Amino acid sequence: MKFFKSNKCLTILFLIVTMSMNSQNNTIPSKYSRTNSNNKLYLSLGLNSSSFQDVKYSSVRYSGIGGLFNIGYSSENDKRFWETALTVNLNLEAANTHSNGSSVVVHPILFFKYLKPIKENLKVGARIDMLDFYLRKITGLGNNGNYILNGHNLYGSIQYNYQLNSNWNLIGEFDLGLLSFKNESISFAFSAPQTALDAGEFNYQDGAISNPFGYKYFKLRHIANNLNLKTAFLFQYKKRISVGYFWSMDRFSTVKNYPTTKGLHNLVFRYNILNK
Amino acid sequence: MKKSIYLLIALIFTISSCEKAFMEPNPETDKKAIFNEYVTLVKEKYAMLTYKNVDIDELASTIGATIDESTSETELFQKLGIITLALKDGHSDLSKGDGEDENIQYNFLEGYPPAFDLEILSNNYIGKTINPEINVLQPENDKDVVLAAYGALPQDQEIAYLWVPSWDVEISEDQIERIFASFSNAKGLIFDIRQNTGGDPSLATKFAAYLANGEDIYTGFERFKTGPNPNDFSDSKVYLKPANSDVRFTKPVVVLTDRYCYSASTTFAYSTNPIGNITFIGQRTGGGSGSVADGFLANGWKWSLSTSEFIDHLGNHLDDGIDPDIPVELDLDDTSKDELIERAILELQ
Repeated sequence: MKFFKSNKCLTILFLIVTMSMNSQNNTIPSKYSRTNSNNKLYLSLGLNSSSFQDVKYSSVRYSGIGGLFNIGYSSENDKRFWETALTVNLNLEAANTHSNGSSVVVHPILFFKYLKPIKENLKVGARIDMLDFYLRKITGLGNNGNYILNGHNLYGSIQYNYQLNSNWNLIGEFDLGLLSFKNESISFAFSAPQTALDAGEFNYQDGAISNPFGYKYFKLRHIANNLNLKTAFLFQYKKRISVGYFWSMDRFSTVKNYPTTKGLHNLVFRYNILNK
Repeated sequence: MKKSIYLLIALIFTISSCEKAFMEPNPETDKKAIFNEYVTLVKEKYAMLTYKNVDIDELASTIGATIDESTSETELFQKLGIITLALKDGHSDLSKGDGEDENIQYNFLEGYPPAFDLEILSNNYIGKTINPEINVLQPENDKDVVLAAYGALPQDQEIAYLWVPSWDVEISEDQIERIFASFSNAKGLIFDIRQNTGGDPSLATKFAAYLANGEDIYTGFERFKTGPNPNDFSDSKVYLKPANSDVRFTKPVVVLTDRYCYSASTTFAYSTNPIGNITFIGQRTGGGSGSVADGFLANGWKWSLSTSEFIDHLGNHLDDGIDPDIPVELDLDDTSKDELIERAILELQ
């Protein structure tokens, strides 16, 4: 219930902010309508810290550290901003209460973001994760040794630019997950999607059950039953260098009262190969 | 300006631990907590408490009363093991960790006569000396492992023989196709799954699909635990879809079984049992019809539990195995023949 309330509050907050910003559309200063454009191609390397908990099997938290690689392209002019990027996170995690079952996590994400300026320095729009593939390989386990969460997410997005001084610029972003279409490979009691078992469709000859891209057993979730948040703070130094901190979390319940929660913190060094 | 930066840094640190605010706290790891965690797992996830006639509440209450912080780790492990063994299930076990050096598991083999001897099989039927034409399928990088042995028997060239000692291997669709293509002139097939303790049920089903013909065959239903409550089950009706192949073997087949036939071998057995031209010869299989889930307790001990059960097309629960149509024992004193194969040859005449 607490979870539902917090999601509801976030949605309302997001809508209020977006609507109030839209209502200020007419107040955009005239200088904002100048024709400016900026295209960036960037590469990033970074460190990350991750955490995971799947209450269906245990309330022991897993946490660990790792690295990431990221490549992206963004294009901006006075009328719109869009960005696409691929990030691959690699983590090693361990349980908080014991030393067995260490995990390797591979988590590639490919997204597209489209924003419209509603005020100088402020943009709103949407982000879609075209790929959000999360694989945990857990040592020492058999059937549950591979946990896969695969899906697509739609977010409402806000971006704020702030000129700190003549050299430094801060870009802050917030993405609130509105819809997700995802599949968790492990259900309440077996390594098969819960939707397949609930539907009474389990069969070893059905390839869609074990295929992480088998959309037949994907489930559509909305903000009330999937809390999916992302924040980003990117400090850009002159044209080429940026340092950023990104945070994301995803929480949902395949089985009521048995939530899965994962979080990721990234510390990123970014180099703009192209910035013009 | 400075204020803004401080505010931002404070915001970043606040958010940094945000997902943990949504997580459940880490569980306790004292003796009583570990015991309760295991009991809850068995209660919520084990699918055959009713069929196995296990009163988990009574068991937990009796054993739980003897556990406190003075209980040693070894004693606690053994007390949890009482619950594991009460399930009488080879799939459900408890071990102390990754190395699995200490393990508690029900022995489903006890009390069953032998029905297989590799030396007898090799010397009289499939060894290269007695049967130079036999095909042995092996992994490219490991010539000590036999994936399958197949070919005609020296005792009767019209009877094909196929031995699959494990389903815990990789055999491609092409390889399966080649195996069955080689049986095209045989009048009957002996499919030997003795000693096959399981592996990948999908592979077992692929082989079974080569023995089916015509319509999809109803083989039974698998009852999965889908939630924590005692009645949270869902039944998946299972049909065997015949392989999409021209080399399916639809002539008489004898499947040889022993008590070692477990888990995915039970999948093979229930998939093929409803097929009309198949006869089972040998010993009762080991069972292990349930699908298995595994995980770690909060202190790192590893558990596995059967989280489904299979009920066949006739309504039989299969967790304790399937009886053969023709029971036959192996006489280990007579090394000149394998009584099960000889009986199968007779059946296929």
